[in-house]
Amino acid sequence: MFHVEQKNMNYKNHFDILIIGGGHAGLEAAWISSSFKLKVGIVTMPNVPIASTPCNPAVGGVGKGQVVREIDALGGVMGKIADMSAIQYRTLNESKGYAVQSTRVQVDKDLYAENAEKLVEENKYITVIREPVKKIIDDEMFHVELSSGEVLTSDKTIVTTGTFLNGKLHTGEEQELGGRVDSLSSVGLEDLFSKIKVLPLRFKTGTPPRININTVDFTKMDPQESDEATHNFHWSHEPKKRFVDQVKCYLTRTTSETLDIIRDNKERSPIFNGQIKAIGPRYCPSIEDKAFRYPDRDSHHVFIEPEGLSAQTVYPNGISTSLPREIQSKFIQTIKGLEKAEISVHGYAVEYDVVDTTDLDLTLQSKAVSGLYFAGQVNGTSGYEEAAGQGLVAGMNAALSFLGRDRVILDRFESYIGVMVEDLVSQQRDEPYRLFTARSENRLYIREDNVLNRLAAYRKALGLKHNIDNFQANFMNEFNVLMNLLSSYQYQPTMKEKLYFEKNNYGPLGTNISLKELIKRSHLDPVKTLMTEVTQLGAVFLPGVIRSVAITAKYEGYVNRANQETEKQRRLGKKQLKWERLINNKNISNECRQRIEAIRPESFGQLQRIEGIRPATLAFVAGNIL
Amino acid sequence: MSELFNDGPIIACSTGDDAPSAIAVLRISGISSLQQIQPLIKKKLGSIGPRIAYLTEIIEDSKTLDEVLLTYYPGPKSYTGEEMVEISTHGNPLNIQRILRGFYRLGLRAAGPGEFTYRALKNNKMTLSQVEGLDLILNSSSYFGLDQGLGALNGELFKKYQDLRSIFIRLKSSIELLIDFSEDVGEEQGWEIFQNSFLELTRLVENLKQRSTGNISDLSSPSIALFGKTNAGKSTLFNKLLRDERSIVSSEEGTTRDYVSEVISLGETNFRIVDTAGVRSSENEIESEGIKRSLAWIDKAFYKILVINPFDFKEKNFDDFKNYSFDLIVFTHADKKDFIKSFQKISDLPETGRILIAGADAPIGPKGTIGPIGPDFKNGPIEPELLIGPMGPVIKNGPIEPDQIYYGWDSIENLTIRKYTELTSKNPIIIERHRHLIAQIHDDITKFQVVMDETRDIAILSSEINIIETRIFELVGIVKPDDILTSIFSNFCIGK
Repeated sequence: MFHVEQKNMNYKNHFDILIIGGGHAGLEAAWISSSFKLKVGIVTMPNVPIASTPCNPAVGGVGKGQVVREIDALGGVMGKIADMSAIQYRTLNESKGYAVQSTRVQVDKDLYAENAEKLVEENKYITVIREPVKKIIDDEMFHVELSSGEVLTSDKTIVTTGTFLNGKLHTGEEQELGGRVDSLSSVGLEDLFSKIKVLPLRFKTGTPPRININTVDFTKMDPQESDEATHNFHWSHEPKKRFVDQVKCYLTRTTSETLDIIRDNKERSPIFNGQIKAIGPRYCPSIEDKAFRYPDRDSHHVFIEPEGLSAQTVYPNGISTSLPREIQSKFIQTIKGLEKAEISVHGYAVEYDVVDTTDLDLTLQSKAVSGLYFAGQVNGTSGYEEAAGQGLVAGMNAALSFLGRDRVILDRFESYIGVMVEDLVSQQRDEPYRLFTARSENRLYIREDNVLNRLAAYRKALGLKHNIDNFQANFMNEFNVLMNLLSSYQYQPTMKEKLYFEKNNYGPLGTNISLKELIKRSHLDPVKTLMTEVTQLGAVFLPGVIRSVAITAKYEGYVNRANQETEKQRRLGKKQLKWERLINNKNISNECRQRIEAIRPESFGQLQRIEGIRPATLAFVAGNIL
Repeated sequence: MSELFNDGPIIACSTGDDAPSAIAVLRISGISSLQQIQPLIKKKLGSIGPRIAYLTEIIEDSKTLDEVLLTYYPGPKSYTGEEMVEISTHGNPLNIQRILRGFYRLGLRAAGPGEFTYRALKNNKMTLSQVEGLDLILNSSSYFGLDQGLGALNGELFKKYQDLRSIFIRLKSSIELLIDFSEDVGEEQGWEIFQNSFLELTRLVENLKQRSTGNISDLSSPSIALFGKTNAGKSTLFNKLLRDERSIVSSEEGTTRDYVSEVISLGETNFRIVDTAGVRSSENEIESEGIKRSLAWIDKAFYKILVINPFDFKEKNFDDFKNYSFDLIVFTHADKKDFIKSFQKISDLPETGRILIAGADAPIGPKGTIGPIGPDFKNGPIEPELLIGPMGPVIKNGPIEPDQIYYGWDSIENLTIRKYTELTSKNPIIIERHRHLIAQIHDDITKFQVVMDETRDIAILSSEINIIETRIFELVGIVKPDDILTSIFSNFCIGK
């Protein structure tokens, strides 16, 4: 009775898509679904801005930079906000070849949230509701009861609650409930949905103390400048435009004294005295972990990162900790340049519940509750970029499903988002998941420069007609024209051309060579050379097109060679299968059938990646079903 | 569909069930729970502990079939990785059959040959290389093969492959360090680990390569094969080696139509000695089939002997053998008059390292007719002393030196043992697939060095390493991305 009354009485409270959580996953989910002109709501905690950056003030990184560009290519918003809030740019792995280069920017935290809030505010399809959620009921449609008693309804619900599910903070012996400092935690998942499986183990993450910028002696540290040549993330931004002033980061080190203090206080560390039972990520250890796991080392890097242009705090990257406050204050002052440092906000660890992602399908929709999606840290991932990527996948598929259209799944051979989503739904997590480029089988191809070659087709499949869609169509046209020109344009060994080659240090010109052969010469930088030659020819192409064409040509041979090796595996992996047929097949062992039923693989590749699937089953399926 | 792909429960008698013995061991694998076999077992299986032998009875229709010892090996720690049970029964074949049938009625199926090991392989309990080692242990007829089998299963060779695997993981880790974690570990250190682990990999592969080049024939189950024209005296030689009358000796041409073989023990090794069918152009279909099979032995025999009767030598009779090389050429009928004359007429023989001259039973003679022969370095007594001059026309690759000429049947045994000892002393790898893969890996590494000289582009290096990886996988088992990441996280402090 109650909910019918609510529905009739308050049509305004009904949403096509309702998102619980306003972090990076929530924002992307809302943004992409709003681009289908659906009515979208974001329910978020009061006092927490949209897309806040509660941990390190940076967006991008190795592998993650690719993800940000993938999000941007699909119509997401992270790249745009990051550019507008960036106070330092870096191209990582600059000396190691184009394929592994990634962009990372330091962002002004306040500016980032401000820009996000502004974009959401200007978007007429998105409504923000700032109130904790009390419970969610799934009854024909979703009924979300807020703490005020008001009920919102929706067709699709996307849960992006980050670390807020049963969140518990630890700073030394002090414990409090919450998802991050100064915020309440949400209720547990099992309270929200009895049908949703939660991993039996909780996850843990931590953050370092923030230090008062006025108490830092930067003269004792090595400065790192912003890179002027690094390109912006967002497609419509001038590649080298800077929106705000640029600042330096600094590098310093812990001392043996630092580690002595930590080692002397082992019994007061929540992660070593048993107070925290959850599992933290191995790739992001706390300073306590470092002190005890690497007893031979007496020093570790600490990157001092400004949290904003006018922020009064810096973020000391590398010393996340949950030690008691007084010990934090003590060890901080043993670090070079931080001898007089004062802590503004102490470091803490947070334990939280995580959804069993093997219970989700490739659109991140729950297999148990249709129309319910999960994205972001609640799925056991770490990182803003990973969260945003999932938000986008869940958001666009929730929208497509709402509109009764086909879903869009990113292939793991073409994007890091595809790698991540498939890894998540195929294997149960035993530690927080972060993208490494090693997780991809196709690293030479999944690059930043060719993001549109990889993803324009997926964006097109969304069937939208926005500026970005025109841009991408145009970009791909130019790409194809220039790629053809590369093969067809020939240099003849005339006196004039020979002199030109000599002048530009292009090497010998004996017989006819094509433009492609020229830029592939190992002593030349393909991008710069193509840039020069295109200008010389009087042709005009988008800088991004030239870059992408040059790097694509450079790696073509290697990518093909690698593809030959993996082609068979890939072709087999892409084959679709009906899991319903497998679970009734007597030739497959009971145990495997149970796993197949739990994961519900959609392709042979996914079946292969399910843990505990017997090779005999794979051989049988490959030989008899496909 | 192959039965091997059906992973239902299987049972087999692992100790051989064709002759009575005191004890037979039945192995069961792949049952979903012990309850599946409970109907045949007296003891309540719900309460038994793992890897403890229990005395109980096999019971069918409340009749005791046998008193047995039962041990439960729970998966995944069992041999196959599945739920396993071993039952020791009394070893009468009838008894075994009756018990097996009882289990078949419960829905277990008879295991195919090698199926337990196949499952161990498929469940990643063993690598393919280990399975090959097991095969050597079970099937070789030499101590050398046995030792190498043990080596590949869990010993020296297995360790070498494990080393190869861990060095390779380190090499891959260094690439991941350089790409994903250079802020944490530092570029210099990353390149240093890359260079060092690549050097180490090269050294190890070089060492394996040395052990897998050169002709090793089949050292695990070696054979001595006799070739030659019909009635050249192969069967006589065969019987000399066997010291009995196994092969029918007759003076009618073409008696040994197919090949005949027996096993003899020389030193610590069992050799299969093979008397192949004589070669001659034949219209007889059965015979030419036999000849074809004889020629097949040329490829696989460990010690190849060509037997020639110099009194019946026509060049065209050796056309079939011309392109092969032999360990030894034996000239028979040396006791006959005019042997030397006929012998010296022979030219253009197949390649060989040594020559042996022998007569039937009579001593070799006549003395002093052929020329000087130098000091007495021969194997076996030379009785009477026979002297041979330069062999000029006989061998196409130049004259045979006197120290390559041997006299008397006994030398054959010594020469065979000598070759076997020489080859095994270098501890060569004899599993053909390994030799092939090692050669490929060696090749890949050489090519990779060229790429390394050309570029420092880590993505390209990494992609080329992945190509080598597919072959290393085949030798040492699969390396998963998680293995690489685990190696990184346990060896380096990651996380800035």
